Amino acid sequence: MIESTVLHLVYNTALLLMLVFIFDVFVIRWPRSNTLRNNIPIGVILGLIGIILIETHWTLENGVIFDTRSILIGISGLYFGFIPTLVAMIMTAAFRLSEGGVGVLTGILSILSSGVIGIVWREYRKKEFPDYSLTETYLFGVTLHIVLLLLMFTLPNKEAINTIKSVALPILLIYPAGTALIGMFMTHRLQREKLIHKVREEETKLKIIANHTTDWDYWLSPDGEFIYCSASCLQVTGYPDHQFYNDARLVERIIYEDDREKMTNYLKRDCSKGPAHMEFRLVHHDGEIMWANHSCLPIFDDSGKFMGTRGTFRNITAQKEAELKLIEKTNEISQILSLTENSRRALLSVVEDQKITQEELALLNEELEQRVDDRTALLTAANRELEAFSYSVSHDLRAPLRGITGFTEILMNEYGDKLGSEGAQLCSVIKENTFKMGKLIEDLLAFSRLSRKEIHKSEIDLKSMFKSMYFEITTPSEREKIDLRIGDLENCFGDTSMMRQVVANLLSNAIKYSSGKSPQIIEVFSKREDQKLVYFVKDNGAGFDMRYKDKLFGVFQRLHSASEFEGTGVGLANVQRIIHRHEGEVGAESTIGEGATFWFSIPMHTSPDKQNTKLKKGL
Amino acid sequence: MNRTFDSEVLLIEDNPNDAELTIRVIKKQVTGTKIHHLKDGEEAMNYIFDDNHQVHQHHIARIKVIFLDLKLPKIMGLEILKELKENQETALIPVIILSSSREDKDITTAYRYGVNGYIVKPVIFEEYAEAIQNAARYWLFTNETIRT
Repeated sequence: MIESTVLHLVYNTALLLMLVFIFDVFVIRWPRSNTLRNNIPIGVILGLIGIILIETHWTLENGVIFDTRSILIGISGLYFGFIPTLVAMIMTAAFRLSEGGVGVLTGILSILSSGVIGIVWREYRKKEFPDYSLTETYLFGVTLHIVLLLLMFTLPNKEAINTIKSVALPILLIYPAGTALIGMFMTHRLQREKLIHKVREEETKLKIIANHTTDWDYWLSPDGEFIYCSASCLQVTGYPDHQFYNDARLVERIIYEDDREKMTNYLKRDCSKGPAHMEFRLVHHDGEIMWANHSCLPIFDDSGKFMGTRGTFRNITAQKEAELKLIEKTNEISQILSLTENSRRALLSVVEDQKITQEELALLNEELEQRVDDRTALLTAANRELEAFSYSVSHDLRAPLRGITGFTEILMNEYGDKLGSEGAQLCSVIKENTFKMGKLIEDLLAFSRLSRKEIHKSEIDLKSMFKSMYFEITTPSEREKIDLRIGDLENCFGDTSMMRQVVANLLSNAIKYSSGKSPQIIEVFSKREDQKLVYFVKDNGAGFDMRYKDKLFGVFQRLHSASEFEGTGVGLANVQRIIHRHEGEVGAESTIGEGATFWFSIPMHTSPDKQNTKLKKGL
Repeated sequence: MNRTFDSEVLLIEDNPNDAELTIRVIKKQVTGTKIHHLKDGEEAMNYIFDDNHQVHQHHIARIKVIFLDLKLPKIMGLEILKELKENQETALIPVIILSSSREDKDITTAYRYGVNGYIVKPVIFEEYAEAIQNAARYWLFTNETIRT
């Protein structure tokens, strides 16, 4: 009997240990499969284990069968949760019902109570991660099995007391211990898995950190072999990590030749003492020379044992190039500054020179002004003398003439009878000559006044001026013989009174010199040439010899004798002086016997449109 | 046209020819006119003013009109004109310039000083005689002067 009970207990224990395996596989390994679809198969497996447990029961003397289903269902509720436990409860309860016997009700109730207590305990503790302590699982086992013992009272009285007597001790001593043991296994599995998971997470994190860096990190053992070499060595050096694992001296070989001795000393000496860093050049796998910054740190364990060296290579080529460029630029700027300084000095020198030049120039200007002043004074004096001369001529030269004419007149009037006809004739000749001289002096004075007169310019309608002048200087009988043709003359800018003299002279000359022709044809017209207005007065008169055309405009110059045409030879000189004072030119063309064309030009003063406007003013 | 006249015409003229012709023309126009002829500027100033620059009242009281030449020895005609017109006692006596000058400057200055007329002496005697006669007639008969 005892042997049988022990044997069954061993069987039961083995079956219960399967729980640990199921928990390990379904709950721990596949932690994300906590769905209804996956929980029902777990419940079925648990239910099947429960059925096997019931099958491997042992029967007490009174026909009461006994097994460890309470531990299975209770642990299931505690560790697997509601759905798998419910499925297992239904299956085992159904099976127990089919077995029959005196303890059917008690058996079913024990299944239900164990499951409910497990589920409620788990819910109460609200453990997502059911890592219960050993004490808690033992208390759970005690609670579970006290209820189980109490359920024995659901048996008939006789059987109840007998059963309690026979099983109370092992149930209260062994079953809670068994529950605690299985719980301990499962918790242990759970904690171990949790730890593994955490370690894996850390490992992943470290890997991500190590593989996602542009720096090349490594760990060298005390004897100089690579314990760790980050994959980023490929980016920094162009060599994959396994080459460094296989050949630790590769590091020394990829150092640029000029820096190799310095770097080897540094790696051996400085890096084992404490934190150190150095900049040097590496030759990349593709042959390119690049700058790297190396920093290193010796590693010691808790006992102070040297564990090797932890180091980092960082590619600083871009930074170094920028630094070199900066140095280059700084040098350039220094040169520019130096040049600027030189330029500034040169400029100052130029300014200084300019100052001297300006001073010299000012001195020259002063001298020039003085000379201008002197010349102006001389000119003013000359003008004054000229004025005095004119004044003298005006007064003194004419007075005797008046005397001659006056006294000749008195002679004629008072002594006429004594003079006789010849005497009277001679007196007339005296008067006539005196008159001519008077006219000459008058013209000369007018010419002199002209050069001193101020010019007041305004717009002049020359067409109207020619017309009105024509009527002023001709008599109706003279006009009968004249064919005057005035074209569309452009307006000009000039001194009205002076231009009237020009018009009067040219028109009267044309009339005078064409007086021998019939009809006398006189044409007046204008043209534009460059920035000048040119006016022409053409007649069909006597004309002149072109050989003497330069003498035409000289004072007292005459090309015709007084017997042919009267005149003092001042008129055209006046015209030339007036036109020159208007910054224009005069000229004449002629063929003897066919007539002459006199012209004068005036610079355009305003826009052609304005010059075209016909104004009557100044006439 | 000859008329009698008891007032005095003062002629200030240095040119003896011009003076004689002028006197002849005026006397021909106004019979019996007394013409006082002064030959230069200084003589003219002494006739009108005494040494203290006081007016010779007995001289100027008779003067009806002054014919004044511009170009005079010693004191120029314009200076005499200025003195006459600036002095209250002589300012109202009509002064006519008789000059050969047609210069704008002379004409403008004379009028600025307050001259009453400006005649440019023509060279031709007939024209000269006509101008003098017209002026004399106007200032001696036509024009009414202030009686002192």
